[in-house]
Amino acid sequence: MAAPSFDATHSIQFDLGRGNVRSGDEQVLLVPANALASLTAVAPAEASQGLGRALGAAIGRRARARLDDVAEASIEAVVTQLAGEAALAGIGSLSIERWGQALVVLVEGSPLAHSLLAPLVASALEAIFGRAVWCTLLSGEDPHARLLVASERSTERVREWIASGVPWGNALTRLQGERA
Amino acid sequence: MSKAETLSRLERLLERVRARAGARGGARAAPAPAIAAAAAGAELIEEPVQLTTWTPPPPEAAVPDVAIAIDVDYVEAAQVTVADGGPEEVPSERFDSAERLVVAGAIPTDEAGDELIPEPEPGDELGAPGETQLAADALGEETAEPAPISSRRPVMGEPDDRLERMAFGADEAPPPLHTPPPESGRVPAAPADDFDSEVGDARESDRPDEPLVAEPRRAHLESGAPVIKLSGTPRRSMPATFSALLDETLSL
Repeated sequence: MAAPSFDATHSIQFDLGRGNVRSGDEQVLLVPANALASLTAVAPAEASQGLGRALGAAIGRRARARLDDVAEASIEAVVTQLAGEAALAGIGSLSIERWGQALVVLVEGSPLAHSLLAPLVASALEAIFGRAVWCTLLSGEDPHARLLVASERSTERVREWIASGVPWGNALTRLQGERA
Repeated sequence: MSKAETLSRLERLLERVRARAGARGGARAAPAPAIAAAAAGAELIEEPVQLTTWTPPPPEAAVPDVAIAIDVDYVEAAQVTVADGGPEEVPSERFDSAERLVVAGAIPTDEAGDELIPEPEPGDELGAPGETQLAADALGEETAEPAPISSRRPVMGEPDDRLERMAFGADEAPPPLHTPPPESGRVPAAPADDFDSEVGDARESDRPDEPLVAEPRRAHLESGAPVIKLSGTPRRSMPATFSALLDETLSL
């Protein structure tokens, strides 16, 4: 079985006569990252999360368009198309880690604020698989950002543990220990 | 020392021997009064000849007995005779010489004078080996007392043709005085043909006739003991699909 690959040919179309940029069937806007960061810095949390979710949903939709059978798609195939679309959008380098039973998404080199990444990743997965997904930030040391994908209840508990000072590794261990 | 000097010294020695022999002849004729006086006196012992050349004067006072061990390097034999073969009770003071005196047996008086020839002393002008040999020859064999075993001995005996070689020279080099030391360096190995492996090897004789057989020792291990102990849980296999992976993580 050949390793899945991401074909980026003509993924972004610039219509110089009309002055627009298109990615697939969607029109996109090239915005300086620092301008967006300034906006999200002063925007309310719900507005920033809405922005993140909108960015993630667009990435998820384009990735799903690249997958033939999402339910039967392999991990490598999904990660490859998801990471490819995230790279085209300028989000950063995306990969996954498995800590026991938990799925952790690793985003490196993102110009976005880390607070935007959790809604972005959750929205992208929801767009691909058509089901509700919850995500929370485990660690935000630049340039890495680790995000836990779990149920709504689990993500809320881990968020509380990390806010109380529990290391994210211990939070993952504790989460799976309670389940066992 | 050159040959001329040696010959001259030998000649002087010969003259001295002749002169002493002549003197003894005169003394033998002269002592008639002394002998007469001795005959007149009862049991007079003939006075020892005063060796004016080397005999020290007698001590004036009695010499205390001092226990001193004296190592005598040489032995001199000065024979003193008594006129009548007298007993040993002659006072020892009469032998006033510090030298070791040996009392010989009784001999006739007229022969005593011939025997009173002192041994040359070390340091005497006649102390050369050649001269000593001549003097010894002149005195005869009986004057030479054999050296004790523990005394010093000459390293090399005087050859009989020493004078001849000194006078006319030696045609051949003298033989070495001792065996030269062995030469250093490699020692040649013995020829292989001389080696007999069947002779002189005690280990060969101790070897038994039967061939050696190994004696194995093996441990007896029981196979019924439980060796394996499992601990922990096997790592979960990665789900085949991302959807299954998402199901697992959302189940947390």
